[in-house]
Amino acid sequence: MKNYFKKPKYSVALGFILLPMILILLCFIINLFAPPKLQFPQPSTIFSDILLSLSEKSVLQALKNTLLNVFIALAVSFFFGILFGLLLGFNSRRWNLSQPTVDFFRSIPVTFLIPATALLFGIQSIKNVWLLASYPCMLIMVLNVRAGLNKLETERTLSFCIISGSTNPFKKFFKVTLFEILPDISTGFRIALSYCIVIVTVLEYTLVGSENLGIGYLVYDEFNRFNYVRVYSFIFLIGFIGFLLNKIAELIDYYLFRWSKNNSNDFK
Amino acid sequence: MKVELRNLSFEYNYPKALILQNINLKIDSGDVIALMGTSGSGKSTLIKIISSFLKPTSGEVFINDKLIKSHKPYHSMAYVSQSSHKTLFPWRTVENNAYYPIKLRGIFNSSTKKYCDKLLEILNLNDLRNSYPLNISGGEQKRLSLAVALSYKPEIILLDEPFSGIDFKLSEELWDILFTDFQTRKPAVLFVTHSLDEAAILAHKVIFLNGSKTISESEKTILDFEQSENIPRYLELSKPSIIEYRKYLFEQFNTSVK
Repeated sequence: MKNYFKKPKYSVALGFILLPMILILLCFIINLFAPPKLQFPQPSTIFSDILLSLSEKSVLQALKNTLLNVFIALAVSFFFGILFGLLLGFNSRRWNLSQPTVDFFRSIPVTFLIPATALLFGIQSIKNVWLLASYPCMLIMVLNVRAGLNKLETERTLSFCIISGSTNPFKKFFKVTLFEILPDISTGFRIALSYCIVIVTVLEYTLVGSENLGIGYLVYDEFNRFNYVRVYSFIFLIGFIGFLLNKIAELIDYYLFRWSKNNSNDFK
Repeated sequence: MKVELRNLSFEYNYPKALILQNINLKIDSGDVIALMGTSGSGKSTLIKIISSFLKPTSGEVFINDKLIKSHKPYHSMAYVSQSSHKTLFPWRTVENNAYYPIKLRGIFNSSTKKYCDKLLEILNLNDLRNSYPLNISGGEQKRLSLAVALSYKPEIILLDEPFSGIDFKLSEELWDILFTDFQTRKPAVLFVTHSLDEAAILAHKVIFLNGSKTISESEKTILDFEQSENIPRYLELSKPSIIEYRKYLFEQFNTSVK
């Protein structure tokens, strides 16, 4: 029986069962200590409310806006992150020069940069949640691209030159370097994805004046109406979206980069 | 084809260590030279310099009288690294790694493909064709590196401990494969080894890198014997002339270490 659960597919399945169990247990523990008026809603109430909310047009629209913000922020950070990562990371001297700036800016919470964004891009820009969210995600991408470049096997690049009989830098980049850093780009993307969902929903919560109201705003709105069941429903909904998107990214990573060190052990 | 090292010296910076000092060496087409010496004597460094991976501190490398610059390898050269996983392409399958040089050189056709397939078969890699390099063992990676190196029939072959991590039986088979390739194509070969058997069986000349950073040479002709071409290489090990030569190499090695 013990060995049975050691098999990867069973532990994965067990993880899926464990999640709702932990949520139910959490509700139970909180309710043990909370005063009657602040009791956590029953998990069944929350789940049925999630389903109910998904039939409402306004919720679906908010969900669409949130996802749109996440995807635009990710696309922008993906493009500029790789670009800056390559520009700064390819050369050790350039990286050493830029690293303090990168470290400085990645320590600053994005919400604190709202005034700076307004000054830089105009007051209207702060309504674009994706613009603010793309900034920390871009830094994640930059750092991951640099990590990938740092791990480059110079011997492999030389081996390419030897077997191809060519020292063309473009060939070296597109046929070796790019492939070598792809797993790190993918890891960066996965980290940025989780982070992006958090940032987007928090910004939607904070930037109440935003034009496209997302799920974060709905949490704020329902909270002000003391509609706690809905608040928890939306919080859980954000968790489920994050979980789903992460799983998709994980699967893509697994199938595209099964040759990489990160995934190779799974195939043994 | 001629590889020539002129007054080659190499010094590592961190920590500062002089590895090679005033090395002069010539390798002609058809020469098979074994490079021996203690660990850290600079064998791999010398191979890396010829492959243009490292820049010599002083001195030059010429191939066909053309100066070889750092990171600009000669166009018809093969290099098998001590850590073969570093020179393979992990995103390509075993089969695609073997085909890669001929595809990159634009010479992928039925005959070159057939030659690669034959190499994969001889090197016992047929069952692993669809595996990725990181999912196969170190010995299998080494064999794949040899397949990649031989696939495009290079004029110069540099092998850094090509048989390490490969079992004795397969090593013997590989001796035959390489011996046949060397005999038929006559490339200039330089290989690093720690095995006196490999040096005695495969090489025409053995070079010892010794503690004083210079080299001493021993040639098979000194002992005046002929190599038989039609018998498996490992059977040569029992021939009196080879036994005698092996003893001679052993003494030479000990002298060079002192």
